[in-house]
Amino acid sequence: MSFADVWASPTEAYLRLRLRLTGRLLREVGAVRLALLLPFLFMSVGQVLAVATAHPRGQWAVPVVVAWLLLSVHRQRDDYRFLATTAPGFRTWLAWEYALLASPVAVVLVAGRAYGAAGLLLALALLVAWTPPRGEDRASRRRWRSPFRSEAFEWVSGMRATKGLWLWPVLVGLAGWQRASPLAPLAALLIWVLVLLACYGTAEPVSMLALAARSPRQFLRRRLGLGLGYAAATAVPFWALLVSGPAGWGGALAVAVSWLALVALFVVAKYAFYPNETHFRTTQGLVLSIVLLLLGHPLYPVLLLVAAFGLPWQSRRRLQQLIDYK
Amino acid sequence: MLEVVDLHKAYGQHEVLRGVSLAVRPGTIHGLVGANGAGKTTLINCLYGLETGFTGVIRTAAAGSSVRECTGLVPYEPHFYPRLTGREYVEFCLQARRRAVPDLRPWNQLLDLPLDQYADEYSAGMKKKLALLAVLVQDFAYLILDEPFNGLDLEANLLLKEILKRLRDRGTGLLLTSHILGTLTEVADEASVLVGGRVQRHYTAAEFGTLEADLLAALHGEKLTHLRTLL
Repeated sequence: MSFADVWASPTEAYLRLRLRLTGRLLREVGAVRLALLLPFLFMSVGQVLAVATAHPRGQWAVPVVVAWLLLSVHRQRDDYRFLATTAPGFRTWLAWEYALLASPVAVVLVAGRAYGAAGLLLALALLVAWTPPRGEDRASRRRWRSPFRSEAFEWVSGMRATKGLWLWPVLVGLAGWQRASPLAPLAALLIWVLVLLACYGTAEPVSMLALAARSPRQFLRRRLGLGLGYAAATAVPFWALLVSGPAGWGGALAVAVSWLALVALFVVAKYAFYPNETHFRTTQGLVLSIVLLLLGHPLYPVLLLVAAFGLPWQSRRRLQQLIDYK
Repeated sequence: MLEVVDLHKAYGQHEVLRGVSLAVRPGTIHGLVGANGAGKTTLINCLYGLETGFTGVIRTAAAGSSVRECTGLVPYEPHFYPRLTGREYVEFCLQARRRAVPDLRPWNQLLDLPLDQYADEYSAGMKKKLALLAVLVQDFAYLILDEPFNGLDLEANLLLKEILKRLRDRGTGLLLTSHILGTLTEVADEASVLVGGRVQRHYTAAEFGTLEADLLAALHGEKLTHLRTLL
């Protein structure tokens, strides 16, 4: 062990720890998946940022959305208590971590001369570190059980973690306020699908799955039916705004079908690589990137088609393995 | 001395701690006994500053030193990052407090941990030992151990008891909770019984003989009467 290792400052030690863990995670994801994922990720995020930065009001949405994403990650951290017991000054480490994570976006904003938005982004990223984590939620121990809570467990925990129940009326309100622009409901649907992505980004305990699954087909049908039902119910206001706008019935129907298909792919991607959260989250990210860049290259529709057929097949196969194992 | 005076803590309308007072003296082992939900973990969390919104006084005798600075905590369920080895975990715990990383081999000759394997793949007992190793190498004045015997096999259990006794003899003050009453009374010098968020009684080692019977009466008074009618 080197001298630097021994006397590294706590912040530096923490950041090196995160870097080491990220490196190992990426190694686990594998070079092939990364080669597929990263270009899509950079292109899709880059395009969204380029469009937003060029827009005088849109640029201010960037810090808010990025801070909200950081906040939902922060609130879902499972190492919060460990960090608090390890060192009292751990919030400074988190502030550095979030500022570093937000800095590439801030650089893009600065490059687009959106200096104010870049400053706001870094300020909000730092503030996120001082927000309280998701509570141990003793109140939840006393909450009533209901068929909804046990069936829609992904939604219950996902909405709590992302504050989706607060975000949804805000999105509906903003989309309604800006209804003259057809982009407003589309942007709201895009943000809402990110919330749903977070809902389906956590693997439930295998005991829950083993108890519920009689056959892969029956299990997947139920999870998809419920997930798409809830997703459709929450997306109805956005679709209604599309119908009342320039998109009309035809455009709204096309958006609704594509949006629900994307949610369905999130669900099957989860079970295709269950319970490895790293694998199914990267696959979900890859699917989202392909959808966002669909018209950018003739290869993307082909990849989406492969995902649309491959993921349901792989999820049934994986579920069958789990059922056989129990 | 690590001291708690008249501690109250509530979650909404539910009062978990109702005026708890206790003291952990240097060179003593203080056992904290209570049923599930009695408030043991909440008390430890308040003591260590992991909970806010409580009333009462928490103080240490060490001048200018907060509880977290002079006290090590082994929680009931220690957290381990995935893809981090046991050695890296211990090193990080030391670096986080600006402490030099010593040679871990002497301690690990005692604990027999595969330090170069990922810690999240350890068994429950090994995880407990690793969390213990991370505080043992830091030379804290006080240690708080929440159910340290959970998940340990017989050998590790015996070893841990010996380690705790030697730490006490060296001057460390220890607060430990355990469901295993026999083990706790074997090592502790005094004990506080927590029932319904209150310290029902404080026992010295000489009074441990009545501890089990008192606990049984406090927790299962009616059931005992019923048991007598059955057997």
